[in-house]
Amino acid sequence: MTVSDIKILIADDSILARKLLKDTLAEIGCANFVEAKNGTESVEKYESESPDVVFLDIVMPGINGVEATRRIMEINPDAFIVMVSSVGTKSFLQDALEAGAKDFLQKPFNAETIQSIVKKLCD
Amino acid sequence: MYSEFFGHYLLSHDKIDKDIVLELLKHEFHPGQTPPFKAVYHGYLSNEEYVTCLNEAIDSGKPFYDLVIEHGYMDAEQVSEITAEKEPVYMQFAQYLIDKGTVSPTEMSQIVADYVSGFELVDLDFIDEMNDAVDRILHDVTMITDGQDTMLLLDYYPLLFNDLIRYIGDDFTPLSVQAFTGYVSKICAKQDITSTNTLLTAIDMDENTAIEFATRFSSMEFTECDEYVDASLCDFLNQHNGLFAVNMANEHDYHLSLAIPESANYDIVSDSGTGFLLSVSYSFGVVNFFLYPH
Repeated sequence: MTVSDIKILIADDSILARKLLKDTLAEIGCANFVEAKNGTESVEKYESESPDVVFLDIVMPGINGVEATRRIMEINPDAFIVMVSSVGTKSFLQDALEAGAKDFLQKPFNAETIQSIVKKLCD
Repeated sequence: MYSEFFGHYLLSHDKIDKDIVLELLKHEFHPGQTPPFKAVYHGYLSNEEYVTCLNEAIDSGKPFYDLVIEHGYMDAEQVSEITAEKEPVYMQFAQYLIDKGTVSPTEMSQIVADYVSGFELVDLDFIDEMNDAVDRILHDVTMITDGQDTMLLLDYYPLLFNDLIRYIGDDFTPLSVQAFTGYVSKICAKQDITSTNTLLTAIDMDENTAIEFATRFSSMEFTECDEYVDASLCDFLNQHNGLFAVNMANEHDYHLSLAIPESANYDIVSDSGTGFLLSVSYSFGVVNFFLYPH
């Protein structure tokens, strides 16, 4: 699988955050994006699009990112979910990991870190 | 103040396994005695000396730091100095992991040193002229607030100044902080922070200022006040408040929840009760920050 093949779901209520993440990943050749504006939509899009990786904000309208993670993990226990949040506190980190997230990145995210996560999926 | 929670740092830098981080996060920490690890971190003890004193403390029931003095590793003044320091939460985390045998005291010393040097936000970012203005603002805070409000603003504002420098630029001057009743916005984002009480936070400015603010924050070029500019204000506020929450957790073990930030353009942000309005002047316009504890 090449970087351009990877399907990426970006779930964040901020239109700016979604664009910045897309632009960061487009720099390394990613081209296959799906977007969601809230937790409920992120679960629906996961089910309909089967992305290879999900970048999921925590604080969103409707169900939050942690609950969305739990529901996505029920759909696919092998789902690769990376939580991306402004609030990197103990309780959020704990909730994210217990829900099944593979990684947790605090905003503002480091572009190289995000890019390396996607590149590793190609290995 | 730190830009990343220590537990997250351990995880994101592959210092500790995810399962152990989870165990650490679930553990109930209670403030108490100075962690023995601190003596190693400050360079007074080697691993072997640490183990010697710890084992003796367990066997004899004597306090660890009394034994450190008895062995001549530290004198009473040195012990007094490090035990008098306020204990950040990450030190307790460090001690927990050492007690579990996950890392040695000297390994943990390096981890903590890297964390502190890599993620500490220091007031050294302030240029000299700004230092005076910031000091004046913080002094004014103590004049117009009391009790919990004072502590809150004295925690919130220095971090805010640091974040303005990080994300927008250091070409600003803090103008004033004043008590304010009722606030009507122009281009505005607001967000509630909750714990036992609620703190309404808001950032507000005129349209042209908002366009430039958003341009700087996102490193994108904006020419009109559109949904991206609104999102930029929301994201700045969210990021700053997120950092505030991390620091309150790290330094005071205090849990805060953030509501979803929302645009509140040309709206009544608060119509009663006393809030606090901080104004800063950038080369491109005045940016206002409104805090309303209630």
